[in-house]
Amino acid sequence: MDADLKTGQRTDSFSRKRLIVAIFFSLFAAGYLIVSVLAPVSKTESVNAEYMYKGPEKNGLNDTLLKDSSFIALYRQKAFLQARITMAATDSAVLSIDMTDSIARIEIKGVTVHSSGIKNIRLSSVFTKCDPYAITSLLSKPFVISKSFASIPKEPVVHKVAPRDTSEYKPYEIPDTSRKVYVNIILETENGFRLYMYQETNGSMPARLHRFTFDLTDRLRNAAYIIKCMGTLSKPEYKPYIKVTLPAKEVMAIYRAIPAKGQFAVRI
Amino acid sequence: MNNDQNNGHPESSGRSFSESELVQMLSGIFRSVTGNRIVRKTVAITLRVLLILFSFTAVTGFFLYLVPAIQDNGRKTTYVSPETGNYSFIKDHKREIAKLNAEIRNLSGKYQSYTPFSYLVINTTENKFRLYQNRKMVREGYCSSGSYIRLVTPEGSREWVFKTPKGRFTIQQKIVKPLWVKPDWAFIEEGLPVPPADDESRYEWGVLGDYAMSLGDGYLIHGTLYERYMGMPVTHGCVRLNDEDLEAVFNSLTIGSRVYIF
Repeated sequence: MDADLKTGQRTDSFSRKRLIVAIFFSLFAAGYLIVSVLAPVSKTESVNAEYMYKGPEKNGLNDTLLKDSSFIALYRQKAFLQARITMAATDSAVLSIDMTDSIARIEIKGVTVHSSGIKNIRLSSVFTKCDPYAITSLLSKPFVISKSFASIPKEPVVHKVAPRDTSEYKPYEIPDTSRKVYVNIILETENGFRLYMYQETNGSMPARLHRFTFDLTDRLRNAAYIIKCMGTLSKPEYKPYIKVTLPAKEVMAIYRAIPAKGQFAVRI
Repeated sequence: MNNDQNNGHPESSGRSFSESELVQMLSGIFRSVTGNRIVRKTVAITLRVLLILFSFTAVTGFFLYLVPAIQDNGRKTTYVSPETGNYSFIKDHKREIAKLNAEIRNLSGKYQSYTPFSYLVINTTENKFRLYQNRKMVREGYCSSGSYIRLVTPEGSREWVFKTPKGRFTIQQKIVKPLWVKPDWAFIEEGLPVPPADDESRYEWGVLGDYAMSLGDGYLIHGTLYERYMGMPVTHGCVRLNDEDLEAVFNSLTIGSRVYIF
């Protein structure tokens, strides 16, 4: 009888513990969801507040004009040209992504030195939720890269110690260029945007698996960032993304061409 | 007689158990399985593992996939366009649109003016070059660029990184029958003692091909004895071309011509 009572109490406290854990976890998940959903809203608001048209209405740019698709298309074209002209002032290679024509270009001092067709494009909803005039104004300035995550090194430096004398000297070995490398990169900008460049998988299983793990790592990084923000009671910053898929050699050429703190312009 | 009847009903010919027999048999198996402690434990563990796996997948799926998907949903901006059928405002916008078009023409003109008429582009990732004349590509082919080898002396006192610089360059000098003055690394790389600056062993004729074009800071576009390495990153920072391509590039570009390396 006593043993039964004790077992009953133990089961009771165990289920209470489980319940507490379940409640705690549910609250945590709900908090995570709320914080995550509010982050893009606040990003949209901040972009709108910073770049929305604030001029007098009589000046020609009235509300209907700012929502006219033909006006916005031209305004986007102008913004893209402005951003490219700004980038042409820099000495290094820059990247321009034209989503209208599905072309990614490497440019140096305003000269297109390389171009490649974009196979697939995905945009964060912030680009469509923001005021079209505001988002286009934002795109009229080039993005400046602050951080990058990549599956390949930026400079494939090979370390070699010189021989002490001629007896140690070995003739130059031809590098193995046949080895398959998978190239997926993320470029994070100073104003909190992200450009993902994925290599085309062409149905290849290892390439798809690599892309999946690369993407998963990024998702884990983002989740850890949100949890950290929740822990410190700070607002997580949502980083709107632009995801493009290109042939592998093009992604590699782009990543190796643009400097670590390089620039890129986007036309949506 | 019976055989004849069965021939018309193939499903009845294979039936060996009645329904009640089948139920009895299954419940027998169930009783023997649940009666066996080891089997019961195995089933319980399997179910627990499956539950843990399912919970883990659900939790990671929620945090890593579902929440980001929810983040991306929401109201999108609607545009007003002639396709929507509302044409009344279009007329009022014409002036603004014409103004914008003029601005775009100006900017495009400015942007196009950056492109010179004749220039050379070198892609160090693919080790390819492209020669442009009158803004049209006239020749393309393989080249060799920097190997990205970091050479360190055995004592670690000196080091070189053999990479081709990137950016915009101008041809500063055109040389016919260039002479190679071997720098220190050429001796160190082979384990040879470094001779004095004006030593005869530093001068080598013929190894740079028939022509060379200087890009400044000691970087050249030149020929090579090792044409089989074209398309590979094998140089000490210079750009190597094969004899035919080198001659074509040499004849097309003048001093001051632009070379874009990326």
